[in-house]
Amino acid sequence: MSAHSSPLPAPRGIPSGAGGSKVGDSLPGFALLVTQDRVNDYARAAMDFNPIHIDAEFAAKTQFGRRIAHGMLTLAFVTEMMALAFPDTWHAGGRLKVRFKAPVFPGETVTISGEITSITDSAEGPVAECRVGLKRPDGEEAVTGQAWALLGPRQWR
Amino acid sequence: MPGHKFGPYEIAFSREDAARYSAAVGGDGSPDYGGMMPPMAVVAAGLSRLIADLGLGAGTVHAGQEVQFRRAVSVGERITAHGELKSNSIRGDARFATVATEFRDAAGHAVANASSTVIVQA
Repeated sequence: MSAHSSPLPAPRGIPSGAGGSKVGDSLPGFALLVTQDRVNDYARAAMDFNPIHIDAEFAAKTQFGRRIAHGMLTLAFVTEMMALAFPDTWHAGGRLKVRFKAPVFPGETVTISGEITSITDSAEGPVAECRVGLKRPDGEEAVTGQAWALLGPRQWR
Repeated sequence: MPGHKFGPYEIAFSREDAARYSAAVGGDGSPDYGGMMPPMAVVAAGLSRLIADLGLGAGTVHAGQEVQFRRAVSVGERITAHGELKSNSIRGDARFATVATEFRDAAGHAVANASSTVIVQA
C-alpha cells in the first residue's frame, strides 16, 4: 500500500476468475502504519476537521485521552482492500455494513483483512459476502462487519 | 428531530483533491481508479459536512456505517448529498444519531447511499 505498509501472506486459493472464488478465500489484506501526518492529510482531503482527530489539546480532554484516527479513514482502508479484491464491481454495486468498535491511535500499525463467507446468486450474478475487519496491534478489533460484491471477471491475484 | 433534512451539499473533487485523498488512504499498492474517484471519497466528503451540520459538537465519533455504491464517480463530476436524520436519542451518558444520505448525480440518479451512526458524550 505505501512505504509504511507491508503485504500479508498471499491469499489462499487465489481465484482465476468469477468461477474461481470460493468460500474461505482470504481477501488481499495488508498492514499499515497510521501516522498523525496521515490523519492530518485525511482531514484535509475529506474536509473532516473534528478536533478529536487533529487537536492534541482538545483530544486530551476526551474519553480517549489523545487524538484518534477518523473512523472513515480506517473504513477507507477496508474499502481499498475490497477495491483490490473486486476491481470490476466494487465501485458499482459494492455494499458494506460495519461497526467501529475501538479507536485507532496515530502511531499504531493496523491490519486489514477479510474472507469470503458465502457466495449467493442474484439477478446481477454471483455475490460474495465477506467478513471484513481492521485490527489494532494488540489484535483488538477496531472495525468489523460485512461487505458484499458481485463476482466480476477479475478478482485479486 | 427525526425527519429533518440536511443539504444538499455539493461535492466535486478536482484531480488534485482526488490525489490528496488517495495519498491519505493508500499508497503505492492502492487500486488504480483511473479517472474515477475512490468510491469512499465522495461519501466521506458528504458525511463530513452533514455531521458538522448535525450540531452535536466537537468530539463526535463514528459508531457504525453502511454504504452502497451504485456507480463510479468521475473526477470532477458534480455530486449532491442529501441527508436526513433518522434517529436521535440519548442512551446512558451518550447521544446517538443516525443519518441517511443519498448521493446523486446531475441527472438526479443515486450514485451511492449511506447510513451513519455517530455518538457524542452528553
